Amino acid sequence: MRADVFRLIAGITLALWLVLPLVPLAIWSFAHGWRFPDILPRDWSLKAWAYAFSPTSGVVGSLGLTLFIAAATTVLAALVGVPAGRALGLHAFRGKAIVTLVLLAPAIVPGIAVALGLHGVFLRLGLTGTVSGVILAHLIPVIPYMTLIMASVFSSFDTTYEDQARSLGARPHQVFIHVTLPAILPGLMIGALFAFLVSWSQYLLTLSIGGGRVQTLPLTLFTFASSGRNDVTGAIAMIYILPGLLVLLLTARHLTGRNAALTPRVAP
Amino acid sequence: MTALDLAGLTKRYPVNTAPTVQALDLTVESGSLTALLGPSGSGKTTVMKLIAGLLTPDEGDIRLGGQSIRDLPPERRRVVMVFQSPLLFPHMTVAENVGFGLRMRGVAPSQTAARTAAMLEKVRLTGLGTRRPVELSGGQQQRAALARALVLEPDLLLLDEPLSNLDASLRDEMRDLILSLQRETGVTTLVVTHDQSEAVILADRIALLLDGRLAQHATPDEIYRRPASRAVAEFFGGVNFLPGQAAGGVFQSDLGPLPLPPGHIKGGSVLTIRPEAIVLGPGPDARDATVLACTFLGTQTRVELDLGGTRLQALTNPWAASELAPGDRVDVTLPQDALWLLSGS
Amino acid sequence: MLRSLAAFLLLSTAAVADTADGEALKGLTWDQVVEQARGGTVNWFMWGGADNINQYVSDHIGGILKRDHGITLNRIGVADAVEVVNIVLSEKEAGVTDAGTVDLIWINGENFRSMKQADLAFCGYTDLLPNNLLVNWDNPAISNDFGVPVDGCEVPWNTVQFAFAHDSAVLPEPPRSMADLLDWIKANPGQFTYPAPPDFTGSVFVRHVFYHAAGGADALLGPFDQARFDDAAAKTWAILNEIEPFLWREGQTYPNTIVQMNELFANGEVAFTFNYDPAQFGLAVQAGIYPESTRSFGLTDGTIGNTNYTLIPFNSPNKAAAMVVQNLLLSGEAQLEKAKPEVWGASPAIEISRTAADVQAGFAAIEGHASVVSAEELAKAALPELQADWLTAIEAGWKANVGN
Repeated sequence: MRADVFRLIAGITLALWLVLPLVPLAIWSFAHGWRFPDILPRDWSLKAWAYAFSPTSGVVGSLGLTLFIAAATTVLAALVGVPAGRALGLHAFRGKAIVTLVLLAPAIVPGIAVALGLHGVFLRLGLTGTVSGVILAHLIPVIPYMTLIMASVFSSFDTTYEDQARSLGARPHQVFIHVTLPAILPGLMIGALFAFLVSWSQYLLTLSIGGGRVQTLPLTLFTFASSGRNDVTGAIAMIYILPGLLVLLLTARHLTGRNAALTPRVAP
Repeated sequence: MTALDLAGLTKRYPVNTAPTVQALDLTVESGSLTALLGPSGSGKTTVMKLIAGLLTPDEGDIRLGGQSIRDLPPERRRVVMVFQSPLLFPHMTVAENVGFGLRMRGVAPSQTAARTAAMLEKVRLTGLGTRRPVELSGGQQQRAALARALVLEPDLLLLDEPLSNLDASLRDEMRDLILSLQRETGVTTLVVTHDQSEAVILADRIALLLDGRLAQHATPDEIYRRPASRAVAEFFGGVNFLPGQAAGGVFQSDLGPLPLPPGHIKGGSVLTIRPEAIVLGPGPDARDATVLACTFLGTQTRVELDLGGTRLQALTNPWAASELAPGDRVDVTLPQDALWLLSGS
Repeated sequence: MLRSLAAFLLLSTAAVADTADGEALKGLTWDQVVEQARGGTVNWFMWGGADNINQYVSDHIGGILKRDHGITLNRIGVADAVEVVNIVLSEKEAGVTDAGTVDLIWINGENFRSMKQADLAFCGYTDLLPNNLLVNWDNPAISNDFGVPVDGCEVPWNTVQFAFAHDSAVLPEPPRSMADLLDWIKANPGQFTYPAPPDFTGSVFVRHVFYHAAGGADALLGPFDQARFDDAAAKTWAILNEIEPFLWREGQTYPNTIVQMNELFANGEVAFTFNYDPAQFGLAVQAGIYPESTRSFGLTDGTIGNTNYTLIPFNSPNKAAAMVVQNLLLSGEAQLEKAKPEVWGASPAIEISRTAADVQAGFAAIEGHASVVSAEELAKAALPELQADWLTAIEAGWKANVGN
């Protein structure tokens, strides 16, 4: 009973913490004239939303593009991070500390330094201004997170489960799908969530590598935020925040570890 | 038909060290239950993984039913390995675990369900199929793991220390289950263990692996009575080793001439006798001995003896030893048929 | 399917007609250029912070281009034109000479100077555009972009002239000259501020004070002169330091951007805002940001005007199509459309008297937004822009003497 009350209070606190900052944005998006010291706007309007969803603003296209880039970045980061994290988490080898440090470097080095260094290279490769170039650039801060998270997941993973599955007649890909994946899934979800959100919120690398041609939502948002259009900014910000919030809510179940079946089990 | 042959099997692991398994030749007869016995670090688990295909041998061949399976991936070997811990997949129900191999092989769901149910019944887990592995006791988990392997009807079953994780009370139950299922299915079975009692109570034949080499391969009784070397004898609890020289059916030692059992024609310089074979008390061939120490071991008493300078240990039933104290004189008989001449030193 | 995905991933810039070779285009007739431009795509990088302007460009201009010329107009919103200059610059450094990402930029001032100096602009083609005849190149405010000769490297789009805005409901009679404004500031503490240079708009306010201190703009025109600068600058810093305690927050801090100051004005914290483009006041009232009672005005001693332009980078692969866009932007009809207050309210960069009769009638019929002071009214007292060297010297001096 007391635990339920505690959980309820915690839930409400979390919800408020997540939702409260969005309230002014939501109000702004419907406001027509909201000036100090008014508590509420003088007039309400759907103009900002109409503009946000009009073809001119490109917000809908941007949303799709941002989703695609974030999803592709996440999938590619997992394709690299899962095997790399496995190697790092399961095997002790000479120079492991250095490899870990090198992996962390792009996450530590300021984004602007990465962006500047990368731009010249990508330009020569013809990758600037392309979606694939932007995805590659996003992978730079994302892969370290993914790899390190997966390394910690694999460090508590018992590979004899895989041997057992192999011996029971599973082919390597079946072993991965039916045995390894369910065991690493909660960690993978956390890594994927990180990857998705890092890509989703990436401004500097997108601007630098995309050169304005790859117009993701943060860029559109910043254009309006920097011009003082709080109503349009509010509407775009709402559109921008919702998918992230949705992903967070969808994965919360896995993050809290309440889904017992998917919790990785260490060897007895 | 599905006998297992290991020929010159060698594995260096990790690379560039002394071989973990060295030029191992071993035949496991079709339908037999053979124990691969050896102390920890003797390479027996490596042998098992080599047979299962989880490791690749550096040299040598593995043949099952006359066909080499050396280059086949594990899933195509018709060999199933059951690990020491049950390793039930935690995200699947017990029935899903048991049906796992069938599903991986693409067996129809209806058939998988039927065979799973039948197998669960055989290991007395009927009704527990919908449970999660964590909801089972340790013994139940072990039985589910066995069911998961046997439902595949493999040509060769590999069991890694199947009894060592179990309480003493569950060991007999599990042993009986393994023996009855093995007898029923006739599956060629190789048990790996470091525990000689586990090997003795389970296996028809024991292959003793010492330092990566096959030291002896025989029935439990034969290894017990006729160890191939002092190392084999010691592994099985042998403690009495008399130096001397055999000639003409008689062993000359510090105890004087000891007549060997008939059929002992080979030479040798060490004679062994099991401590439990030594008889305390008067008899026609009894000798004089002095008691050095008595230790009560629970079901037996160990009596340390001095026979004119030669020390021997005897195991006797506690009632026979209850009157003995250090310094006592006692009559001791070394039965002729318990003497065994070791070929090595 | 696979091909369209690959095209999407690479956002292929290769249009149907690749017209990267600008020299070849200069030898053609206009009809041939229009023919070459057909099917092209123009990536127009421009400040994207105003929905009205975005709609005018994407919907109105983009619609005509598609319909009449088969040209796809791809408007790319940026927060600051300097980002675009950097793209072209790094492309040049990397040797990308005929496949640049940028086909057209909305530009002026400092950014134009950078592009011209670094040879990043496609120049010498503007006479080809038929609507170039509508431009009065004899007007030095058109033929010089912040004192830098245009030299056929860009095409004018809008003219603007600095103006102040105030809420007439709060302050019915604002000061109308710089001297009156300075007195008003001292009489009304905390009611005025200006963005710290090098903010574009804050910098132009400081230049108005500079002109005032110098006793007019005439002595400051032409190349940079240290002696004349030192004389006017000393007086300017004295004035600005004198009013500093009477500014918003006692002058302890200045807004960093014009956007911040607009917000202060919208919330009634300060009595004035100002802008290089008075049309912005009307747009802000329409968006509900400023009160309806907002009015704007120039100074009797004059306010600074300038012209903004569109420019084709040297490495644009779609120069023909970009030229067609520029020609369309210059047309009387397009200039009239954006002059309408509900569309944008931007002042034309062409001579209205040279346009067709119906366009002239259209301009005459425009009723300006009540909040936007008319261009004619402002033009009565117009001041020229200084050359870029003066600007940088003033900005540096402000930082050292006032904003420290």
